[in-house]
Amino acid sequence: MHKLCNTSALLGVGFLLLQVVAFFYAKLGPSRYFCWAPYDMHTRYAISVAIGDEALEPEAINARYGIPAHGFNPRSYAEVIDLVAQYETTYGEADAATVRIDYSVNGNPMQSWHHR
Amino acid sequence: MASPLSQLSPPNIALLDVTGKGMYPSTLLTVKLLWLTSLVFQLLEKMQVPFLPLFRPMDALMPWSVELSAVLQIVYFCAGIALLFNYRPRLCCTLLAGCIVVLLLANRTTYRNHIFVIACAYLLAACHKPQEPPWLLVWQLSLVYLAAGLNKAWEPDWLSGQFMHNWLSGYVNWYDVGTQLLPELVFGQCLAIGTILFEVTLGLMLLKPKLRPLAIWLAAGFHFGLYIAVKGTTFGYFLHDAMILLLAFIPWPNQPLRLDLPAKVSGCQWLLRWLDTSRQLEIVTNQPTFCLSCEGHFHFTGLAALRSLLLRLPVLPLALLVLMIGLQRYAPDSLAYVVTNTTFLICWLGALPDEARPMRKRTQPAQTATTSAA
Repeated sequence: MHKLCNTSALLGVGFLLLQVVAFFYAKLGPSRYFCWAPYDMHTRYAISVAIGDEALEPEAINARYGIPAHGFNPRSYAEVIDLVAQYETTYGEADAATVRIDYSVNGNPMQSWHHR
Repeated sequence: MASPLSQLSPPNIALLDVTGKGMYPSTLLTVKLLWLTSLVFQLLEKMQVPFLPLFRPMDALMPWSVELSAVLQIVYFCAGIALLFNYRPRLCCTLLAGCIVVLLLANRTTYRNHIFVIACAYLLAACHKPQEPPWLLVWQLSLVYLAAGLNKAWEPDWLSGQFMHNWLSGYVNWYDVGTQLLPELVFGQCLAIGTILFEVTLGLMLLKPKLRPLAIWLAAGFHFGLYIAVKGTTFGYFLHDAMILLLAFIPWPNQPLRLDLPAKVSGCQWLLRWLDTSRQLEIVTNQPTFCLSCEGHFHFTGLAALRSLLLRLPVLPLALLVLMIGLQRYAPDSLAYVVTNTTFLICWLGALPDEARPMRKRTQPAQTATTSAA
């Protein structure tokens, strides 16, 4: 207990407890941030985006979202979907883009997510 | 003929001087190596904020994105340089941790476990009193393994073997051989459940001082084994992070180490003085045996003394780390990369059994030693 008799040690323990909270919080949904869940799910995904009648090239999709248009996420499929959804409802809202994400988790049958 | 180097005084290289610097030596070495690793793997270039922040209010800072990104990079770089030169290491670690946490919250595309673990190491290193062994880092590593194992146990695809089958089938030959011996998915299931049990057990073992040395061996073997078994996968640079973090477990009293050299190797003392970048060794020549001792802490002879000595020469893990990273970036498929990793592992693991005493007991006397202010 003498280790905890200083503020910095208590802060350190508090930081560890935050991670414990994050662990349990992650159980409420599919996202896996700050909870030490490496390689919980392997998600292969493909993002296709159309703004009006123009389909974006993979390079443009990469520049738009900061992730590859076709890629792999080793933590959770929700990270890809949430990222795209956040972009399309904030920075890209004015574009009124039509987005489709085809993804497969751990080799299971392909699923799709749509925006618009 | 005497080496020319033996006539010169060895330079004082701050980077490789980790004793008496306001932080426990092994902790200081760990955070220095972590910073260098992050730099080599271009963490600075990733510091573009805000962009799709996890913490949504940070979007309000978008008009100052260029300036904020520059500030983050400058603070991270300068704090790291100051850390390398042993200037206020706890403050530097706090700043470094803050930079990474801001980055991860302000740009969700940068989130990686191997980056988050570095932030955790920095922050917890800063939370220790000067010269206090890194017990928080022990708890952190334990939490990482426990959480990693328990998270996997929550996933149906892990428990069914589907995850392993999808990952390894057709990717590594040994897995395909295994699936021929067992029904489909069963081999993957065995691997998955074994991994879960191993990680949870490892996390619990790290909390028990008597089991900690064995846990360190197992952790190193686990990560290195994964690297070998899964075609050189380093999981970002988590392999490097894990190896460096395990260095923090070295009990490293911040007081002089007496090194007794037998007559036949006494001529090498100039080399040892050059390698002793922390100026911690008191070398006594023409002694009957090769011995490394620290009053009140340990007394090793022979090979154990050599291994213990190598662990406390920061230049060695630094050199091996540089070689490992350099080979990975420029010759990732080379045999030399595997050899270097193996050498790193052996040199470092080779000394650990001799340190098999609870850190708390081994370092209690060190708390009375002279310390430098942070």
